[in-house]
Amino acid sequence: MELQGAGYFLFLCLVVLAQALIPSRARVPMLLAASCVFYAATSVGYLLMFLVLCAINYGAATSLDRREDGHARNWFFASVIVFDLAMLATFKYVIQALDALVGYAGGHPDIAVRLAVPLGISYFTFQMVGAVTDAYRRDWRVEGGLGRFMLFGLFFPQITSGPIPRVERLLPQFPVAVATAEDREIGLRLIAYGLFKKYVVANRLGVYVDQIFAVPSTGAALHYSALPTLIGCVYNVLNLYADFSSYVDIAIGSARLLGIRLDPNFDRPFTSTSVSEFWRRWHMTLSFWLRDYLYMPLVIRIRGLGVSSVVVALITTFAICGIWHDATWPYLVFGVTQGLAMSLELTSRRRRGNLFKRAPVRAVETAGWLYTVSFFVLSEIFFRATSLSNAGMIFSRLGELRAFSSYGELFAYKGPYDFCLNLLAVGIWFGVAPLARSQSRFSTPLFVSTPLFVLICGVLILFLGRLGSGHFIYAGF
Amino acid sequence: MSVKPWLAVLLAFAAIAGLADYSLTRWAIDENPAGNAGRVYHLLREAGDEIPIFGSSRVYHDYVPAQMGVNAYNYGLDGASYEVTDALLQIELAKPKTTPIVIDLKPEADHDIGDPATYIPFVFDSRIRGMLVRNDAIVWRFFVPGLRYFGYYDYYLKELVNDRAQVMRRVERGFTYERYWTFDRARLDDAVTKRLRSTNGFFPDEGQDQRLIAQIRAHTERLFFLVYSPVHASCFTSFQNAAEFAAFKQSLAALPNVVVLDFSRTDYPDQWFMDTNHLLYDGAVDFSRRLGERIKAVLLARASSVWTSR
Repeated sequence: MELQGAGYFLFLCLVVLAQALIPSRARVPMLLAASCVFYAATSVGYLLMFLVLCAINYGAATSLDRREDGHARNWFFASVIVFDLAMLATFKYVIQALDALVGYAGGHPDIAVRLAVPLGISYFTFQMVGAVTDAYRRDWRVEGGLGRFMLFGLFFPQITSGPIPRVERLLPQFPVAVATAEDREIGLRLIAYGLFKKYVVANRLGVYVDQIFAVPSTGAALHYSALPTLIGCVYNVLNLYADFSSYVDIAIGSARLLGIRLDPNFDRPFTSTSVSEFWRRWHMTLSFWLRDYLYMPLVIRIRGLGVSSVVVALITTFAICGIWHDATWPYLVFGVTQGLAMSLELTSRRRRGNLFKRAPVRAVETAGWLYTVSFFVLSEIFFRATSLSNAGMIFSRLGELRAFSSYGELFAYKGPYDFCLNLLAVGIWFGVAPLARSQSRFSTPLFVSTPLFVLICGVLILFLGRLGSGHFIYAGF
Repeated sequence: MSVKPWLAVLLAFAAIAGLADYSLTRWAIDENPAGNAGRVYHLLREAGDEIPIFGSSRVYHDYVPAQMGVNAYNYGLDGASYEVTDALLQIELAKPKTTPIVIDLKPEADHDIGDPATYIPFVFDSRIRGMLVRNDAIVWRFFVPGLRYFGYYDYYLKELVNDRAQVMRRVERGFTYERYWTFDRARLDDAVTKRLRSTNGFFPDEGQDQRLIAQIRAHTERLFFLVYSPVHASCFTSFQNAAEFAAFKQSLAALPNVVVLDFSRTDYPDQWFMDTNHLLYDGAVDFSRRLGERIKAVLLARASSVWTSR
């Protein structure tokens, strides 16, 4: 059940209605049942597996909560984490590796076909690891019972692609969640804006990006000069942001309709003036998860290395972040480049401070913004590319002296009409974005009431929406 | 949260969507025979003595009625397999006509129907609906006025703009002349590479063949020209099941109201090909003239028979 489909919204309406009608003590079981139904629509087998994993992790967290500090507790914690990560690795990497081996041996590689990666297993694993670690660190006092913990693991709006919730913030909300009028308004606003971004922006730009990144002789691949390639790279970033943030908006909006507040995942990332700041604003719940459960423990463990410990930890963390998307070279390079850029920023902070001491703040910020956006646009080439040679092809095209050889090429062979509609969609997005911010309702003349905002989004989606592939990019991770 | 503003929003949305639906149907589809949906609309309304030509984008780009010397109309639809031709054929054969019918066939059967947007305005027609249902391409939204064109407004408006402005293409009796289609060696080479890597040959779909033959047998008052239009020579590299293909064509030609015309191996220069499947304008003109002459010759030979009588 995709979050942008009519089936999902019918389901959401029923859940919201049920939550409003049933007594408060029945809300957690009802939400758990709804989440199970939501997941069962994808796979009943994997639903059962997730429920068992929830039970194992809840048991482990309870045990860690009760045990006295000591070696036995440390070993027990480590074994639970290894178990969780092994489950993730099995589905994401081991099966693919086995298939590759079978292929090399001349067999018929179909394990990955028979055992598809369970939807949302990454996010589910992150939640479980986070919860068990919090219990181990005694940041979370285990309470609420197994049912509530299962709901934490399977809560339907965020199970597919996040945002990754923290157990101590989400779990206590379930039994007391009541949607206020403001919750409903904000929820509807977010959902409308999310659908707008998905249908009007992401699906539309995706077509141009697909053309530019197509691998020669396997798709409709033609040669593109520097300008269409650059436009494709910029659209690639906008497409990814629009697609992922649309999912997150719908997820947060859906939870808000139920009176539950999920952590935000984006905070205007393209206003960042450094890569470090960018990652504090982009996919925030993953960034903070990596910081708290991977980067910080790593820094503490190798702190004897001084500044190098931070550099090593940053590069390692982001390399793992890259590999998490998929075990391919382009994702690894993507992750390592992020880590390298942040390390360079960290180690050159004092020198940069001295260098730009007398420069106007505005100019320094603008330069920082340009550097950050350019860096992300270029590094995202690795994110999108199917191989390093595919990424190399894009970089070499960017380096061409010729801007474009024909209008057909500039329009990615989709014609001027689609090209203009792409520009129009991006322009409208920039126009609609300020209206979407509900928190600005008291502080800006740009505020429009929620019903009017929903109407604007609805009309734009109806006329400018494109159906696209029907999937969210991040659901694939 | 007050209900009134939400009711107002709902009403406003319904009014805007309804008005847009009506306007689009009226001006962008019904009055635009150049568009894909407009072609289907034209077919539903046509009651004269046209010779319809059915098939995929190959028909769309390769058959130039104006060059054929007969009163033909090009009903080619992008991405349409025999599944679509079958539905259009049902519409045509329900008419009290005796004119011949031209059908473009391909050696490899497929089940594509092209963009479903083409058929949305006609989902209440049982023949179109049956085709969509059979190919798992029907969506509940197609039955809801106001919402049915969601995701396709740009598609229809693009066709309308193309028709009115004629900047990108010019459409004449269904034939689509793409103004910016010129010979591109790199593009053709890429298409040839892909073609050589893929499996080529005669891969029929028995169900589709049976349906075609049943239609032909049930309508002996119509003469069917079953045409294999020209394709690039690379399509015949390691062509599989060639003997079966020849036998299939013979079995079709054995039907009394069928004429099989195979132009697929016509030796055209590379410069006449857009890709391995589609001709550029010069190629399309030459092929259409040849086809027209063959059709006229057959009709002349049968002049005294039922085929040309009204």
